[in-house]
Amino acid sequence: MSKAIEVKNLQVSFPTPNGYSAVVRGIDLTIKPGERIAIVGESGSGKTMLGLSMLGIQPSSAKVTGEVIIGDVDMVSANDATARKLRGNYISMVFQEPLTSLNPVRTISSQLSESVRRHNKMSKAEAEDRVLEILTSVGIPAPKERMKSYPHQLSGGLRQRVMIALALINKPALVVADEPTTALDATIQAQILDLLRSGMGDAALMLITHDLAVAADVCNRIVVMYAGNIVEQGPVAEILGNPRHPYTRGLLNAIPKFDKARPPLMPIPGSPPTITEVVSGCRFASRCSYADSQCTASEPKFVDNLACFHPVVGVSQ
Amino acid sequence: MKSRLKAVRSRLIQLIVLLGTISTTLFLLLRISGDPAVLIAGEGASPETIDAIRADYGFDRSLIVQYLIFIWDIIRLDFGVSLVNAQPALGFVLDYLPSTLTLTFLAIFFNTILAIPAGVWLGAKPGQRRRRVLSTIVSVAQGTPAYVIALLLIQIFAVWFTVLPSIAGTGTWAWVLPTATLTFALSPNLIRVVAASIEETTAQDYFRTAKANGASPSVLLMKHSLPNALLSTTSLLGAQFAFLLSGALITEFIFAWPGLGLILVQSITNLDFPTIQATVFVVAYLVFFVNLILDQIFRFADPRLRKSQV
Amino acid sequence: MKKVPTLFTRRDVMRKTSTSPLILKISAATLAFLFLVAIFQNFLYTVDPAFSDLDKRLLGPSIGGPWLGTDPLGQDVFSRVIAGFRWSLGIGTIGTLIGVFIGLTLGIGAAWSRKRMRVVLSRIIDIGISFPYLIIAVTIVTVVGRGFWPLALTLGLVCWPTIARVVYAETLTLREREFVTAARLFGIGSFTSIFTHILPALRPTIQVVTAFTFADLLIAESGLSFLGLGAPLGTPTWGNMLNDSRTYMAEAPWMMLGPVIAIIVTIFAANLLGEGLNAREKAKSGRVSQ
Repeated sequence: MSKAIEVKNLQVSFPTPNGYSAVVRGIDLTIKPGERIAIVGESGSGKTMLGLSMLGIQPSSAKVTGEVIIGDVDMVSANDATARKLRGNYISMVFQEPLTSLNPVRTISSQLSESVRRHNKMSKAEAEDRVLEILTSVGIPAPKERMKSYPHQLSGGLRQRVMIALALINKPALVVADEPTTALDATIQAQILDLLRSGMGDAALMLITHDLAVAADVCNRIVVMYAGNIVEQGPVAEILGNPRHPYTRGLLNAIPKFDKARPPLMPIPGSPPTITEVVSGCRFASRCSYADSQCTASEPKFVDNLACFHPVVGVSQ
Repeated sequence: MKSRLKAVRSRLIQLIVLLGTISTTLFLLLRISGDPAVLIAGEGASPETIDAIRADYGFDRSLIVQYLIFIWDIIRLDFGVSLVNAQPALGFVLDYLPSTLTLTFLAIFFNTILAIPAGVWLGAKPGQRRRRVLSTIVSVAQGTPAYVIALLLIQIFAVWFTVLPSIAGTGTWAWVLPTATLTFALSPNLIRVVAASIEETTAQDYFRTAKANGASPSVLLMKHSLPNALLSTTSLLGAQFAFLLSGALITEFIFAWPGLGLILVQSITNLDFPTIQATVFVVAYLVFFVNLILDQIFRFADPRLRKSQV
Repeated sequence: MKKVPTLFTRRDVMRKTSTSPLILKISAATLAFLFLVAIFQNFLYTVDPAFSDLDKRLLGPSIGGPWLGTDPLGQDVFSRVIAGFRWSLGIGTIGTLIGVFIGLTLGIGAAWSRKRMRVVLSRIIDIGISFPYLIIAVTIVTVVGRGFWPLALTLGLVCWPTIARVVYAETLTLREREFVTAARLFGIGSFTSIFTHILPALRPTIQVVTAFTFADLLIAESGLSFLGLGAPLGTPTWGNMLNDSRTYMAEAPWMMLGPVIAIIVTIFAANLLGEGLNAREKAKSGRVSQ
């Protein structure tokens, strides 16, 4: 499939005592074939909910509006049977905790081949061949033996490789990876990031992370989310070299650097608005040192890859 | 292998402590219930008979010695003779065991084939109004005492419609009402455990993973929820088995069912200590073996408990 | 060795299922009403429950006459059912109080103590759970003599193990919670910690367990009386009445109507109260998914 995946005005809201409240507030996003983009934001920015709702597997209490166009189908309005045909086939997901995300009482091979045979007409033997092939390609040593293993018998890194194999097994157009390295040891993290960077075949990658350094390491493009909105996006070099949104700059200053002129780490004060909080104007204003009356009066529009009245100029440290 | 032996050993220790506690309690109860020799001799026995029994059983010796003799007898599985019919208590109890075991297996069988599908159905979509109402009914039914169920069944099927016998020993049909009573008494509990376990699996990460890979509701239920939910059900079945062996007292009593429950009621009414002791021991041994078997089933069914291959 | 999953008890399941707050109110109101009936029973009798009128034997229920009929001794079934409330609720209440007290002490004690002591105490609880307590209870009652107090005290003395286990598990998790750890770090003594932090935090659990224990003891008590092992024969208790009714199922099926309704309503009310309390607690601690 060589068409881009398009997210149009996607909103995800949850019921609160005062009516529905949005955690994803009208996101527009285009992911080109084979592209690797990162969705970066603090916890509570709505990035995970964006990922889940793109697959149509958000919690049942959530209300989703807008469009997620995959191929010719809109995932949001598609019926269950159509949506199931897309999931795991055209779009798939890798979760944060590989141990609990795999069924503990079934072997690796049965879980992988279940997914292959669901979406392809294949005999059991053919499916097992495919499983073996994909396990090999994600770098699992002795894949034949591993197929018969149960999830708890593998190390954390191998489990996450299995999760990635499961996501890739039907050669999807897009893999959404939600904090795939957060639960892993630092040394294993680097290996998994390598795999995400160069082992994805033709699939596009949407990496959800709170870590700008990880995003920059793996992806071509970075999308910064804050409190349910995209506040800035652009190619990696541009976001890192010339961040224009004060929030992006804040995120960058919060990353430890190991070069000569080491500036002090600068955490961003405060925390994002909660789901029930009513905010007028820019949702970052209360934490922003550049904010003025315009910022609290109206919400900045997303124009030229940026949503800010007072973009920061000058080169980042 | 080592862990398996360890598990058996800890169960064994538990069994020994349990049996020790029960025996000691019963020993003390027998001694405070009055003069045990009088009790054994029965009402209206001559003083000579009572003295002979006292000497015979060693009741004239110190309490400590008596206790040691008592424990030694138990270790040799000699529980003495029944005070009611003068038969060796253990053999007498074992004669009644098959009929209780058969009733237990029948009840467990029907309970399983009724409650597991019902629980799966209830747990699959717990939010649905129809199922919410039904699961409230099931939870209310859970408190119904077995004798209420038995009396209602007898009233309806034996007294009003006279289609089923209400007393044991009247042929195959006599099995129906006791089995039905125990099934209805146990199934609400099992239905709820299955439903709750199924519901719980839907909140698990692996369930979400399967969903993210396009699994249909029926695949989610049968291949992802059910295997995990059944694991917790196995343990409840074990508990129910233990309950049935001794706890079916009332059902056996109502239907005059010649089993361990009936013996217990009779022997307690008559303060027939050797028989009480023998019955409790037989039940405790059976529960011990059932638990051992269950441990093995767990090991087999839950790969996490098997020996790690890495 | 990995831990083998422990046996499921009814209470474990209850913790996972939900009931509406309406049920909580209804069941609490019903129980309160039944307790009032038990306390003011003397004003509710139509006839003295012990009064036997041999001219009025085995009369069927009627709106004007004996509401629930009469038994073979010509005693009024309605009055006897009412009298049964004081017996059953009384034994249930006293037994539950004793059981909760012992269970609470042992459960907290086991969770609070260290190393060897904890192992010993938790083993005692484990063994208590597999102890055939009903059989022992009945034997004790038969030895010391049937009656209200022997039954109430014995049931109380044997029903603690499940309570202790629930309290033990709950206290163990509470112990690790920040506010308790903080209190320990500040050098606050064990007893103070237990009374100011653990007991208040355990309150919802204790409430739930109390309601379920009460229901269990009602079932046990009426069952024992039914077997002829609990109440002295002839005492107006539901179990005794049901046992009497067995002989007259063909001639006087109404004899079991009153006691069955009384038992079922009381047990269901207690169980639903437990479930309702539990559901309320679950709703309070329920987290909103992100």
